Amino acid sequence: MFPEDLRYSETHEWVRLEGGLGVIGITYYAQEQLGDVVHVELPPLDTSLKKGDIFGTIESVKASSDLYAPVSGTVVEVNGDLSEEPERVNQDPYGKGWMIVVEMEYPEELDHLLTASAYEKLVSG
Amino acid sequence: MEAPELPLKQTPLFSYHQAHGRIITFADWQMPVWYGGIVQEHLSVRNYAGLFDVSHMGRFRLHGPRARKTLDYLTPSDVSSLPPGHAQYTMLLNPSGGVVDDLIIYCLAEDDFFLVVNAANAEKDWNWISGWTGTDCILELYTDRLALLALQGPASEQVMEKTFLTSLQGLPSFQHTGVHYGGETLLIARTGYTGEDGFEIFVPAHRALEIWERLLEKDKNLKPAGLGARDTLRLEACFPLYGHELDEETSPLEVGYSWVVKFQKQDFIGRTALLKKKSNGLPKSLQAMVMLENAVPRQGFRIYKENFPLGVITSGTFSPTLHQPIALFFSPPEKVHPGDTLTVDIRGKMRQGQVVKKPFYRRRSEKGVS
Repeated sequence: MFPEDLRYSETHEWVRLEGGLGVIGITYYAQEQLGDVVHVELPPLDTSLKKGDIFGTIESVKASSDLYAPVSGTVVEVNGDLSEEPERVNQDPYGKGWMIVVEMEYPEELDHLLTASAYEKLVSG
Repeated sequence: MEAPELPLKQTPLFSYHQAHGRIITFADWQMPVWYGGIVQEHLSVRNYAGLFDVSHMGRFRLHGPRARKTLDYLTPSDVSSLPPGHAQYTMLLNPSGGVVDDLIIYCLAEDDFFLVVNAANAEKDWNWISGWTGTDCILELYTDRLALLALQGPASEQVMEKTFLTSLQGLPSFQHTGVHYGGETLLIARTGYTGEDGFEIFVPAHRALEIWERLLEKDKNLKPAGLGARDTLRLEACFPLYGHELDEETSPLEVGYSWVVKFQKQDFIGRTALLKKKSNGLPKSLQAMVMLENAVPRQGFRIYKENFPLGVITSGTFSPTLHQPIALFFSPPEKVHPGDTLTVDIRGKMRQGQVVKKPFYRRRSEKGVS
C-alpha cells in the first residue's frame, strides 16, 4: 500500500526519485478516500513550482481536491493518459496513475518528507 | 454542560456495509457511500440490477378512520381515492406552499397507510404529522422495526424471482403486494428512485441480513450499491432531492412537479399559496445543464448567462451514463432555454456548460409504467 522507495507528503502526494527527477502522484489512501476519479487537471510543462504550491486539481464523482507539490522544481513531464483514463489514479496510483515529473530545485527536500512507515502511521491514526 | 452527542444510527445491514463498503455519515446514520465504486455500481443498476439498503429512511404507519382524510389534507395530491395496493409519490406542504418533505404513501387498506420519508426529515415529519393525530388517526414509528431494501435495474424482476420464487411480472409500477417468504409476508412495491424498473422490499429487521445476502447469492450479477450511486442515478433521472431542489421555500410548481398538485381538491395545506403562485407566475424554475468542460459543478456554485447571475447549482455530479458532468439549478423564469451556453464558477475558474431538456436519462423500455 505504501511503497518503501517513495517519500510522502502530509497532503497525500508521493515522490519517487528517478534519475535525478521527481515523479509525483497521489497515494493509495488518497484515491481510496476520493472514490472514482473522473478528472485530473495538471499544469503545463515548464511550470515552476515551490513546495506546497497547488499544481492541479483532482475530481471524483463525489469530491474535488487540490494537488500540492511535495517538492520544488520545474515540470518536465505531464501524464497525458490521465485525461482519457483518469481511473488509472484509482487502479494504479504509484504506477500508471503518475501525474507529473519535476526537475527538483532542492533534492534535500526529499529528506523532509515522510517515509512509508511514517505516512502509514499518519493515515491509520 | 454541552448537550451529549447521540451515537450515530446503524441499519440492520451495517455489518455487511462495514465489511464490504466505505461508510459515511448521512443524516445521523452510518451508511455505505460505495462498495466497489460509484461508477461501477451506477452502471450495474443501469445495465442489470443493483441492491441498496435504504433502511435509514423514515417509515411511519398512519391508521384509523380519519387517516385518509388527514393525509388528503396534508398533501396536495389525491389521497382520497388512493386504493389499497397502490402507492403514490407526494409531498407534505407548509401553508406557504413550500415543501416540508417529499414521500411515498402506500395504501394498505381503506384506513391504513405506510409513509416512507427522507431520513434527514424523519423527526421533522413525525412532529409535523403528529399535530393532526388523535384516537381516530394514529401515527406509529416503523423505522427500526423494518429494513427497506431497494432492488433497481432492468433485470430486477428476474433477480427477485430467484430469491422469492414468485413472478412479479404482473405487478404494475407504483403498486405493491404481499409476498410470502420464510413464514412471513413481506410488502414489496414496484417503486424506486433511480429511473429504472425496480422494487422496494420491506423486511422485518431481524430477517434483513439474511434476505440481503440471499438476494446477492442467488444472482451473482446483482451488485450492492451505495448512496453515491443512488445520487448519480436520481440526478440523471432529474428526480429532486430534499435539501437540494426541495426545501420549505420551494413549491412543487417550481421543480416542475405540478402534476402532484390537484387544485380541484377543495382543501389542503398550501392550496391558497399555490393558487397565488400559479396566477402571479413562478419566481424560479428548475433547469438542467451539462458541462462542456470536464469540471464538476457542486451545490452552491454560481452560474452566469453572459455575465448575468442566474443563481446557484442545486445538485451536480459526474454522470457515468453520459460521461460528462451534469447539474440542476433554479433559474429566473424565461431566462434560459435548452441550448443556451452558461458559465459556472467552479472553484474560481469560469467553466462552460449548456442548458438541456430534462431528464438527462430516460430508460429504454418503460416497463410497468402506470
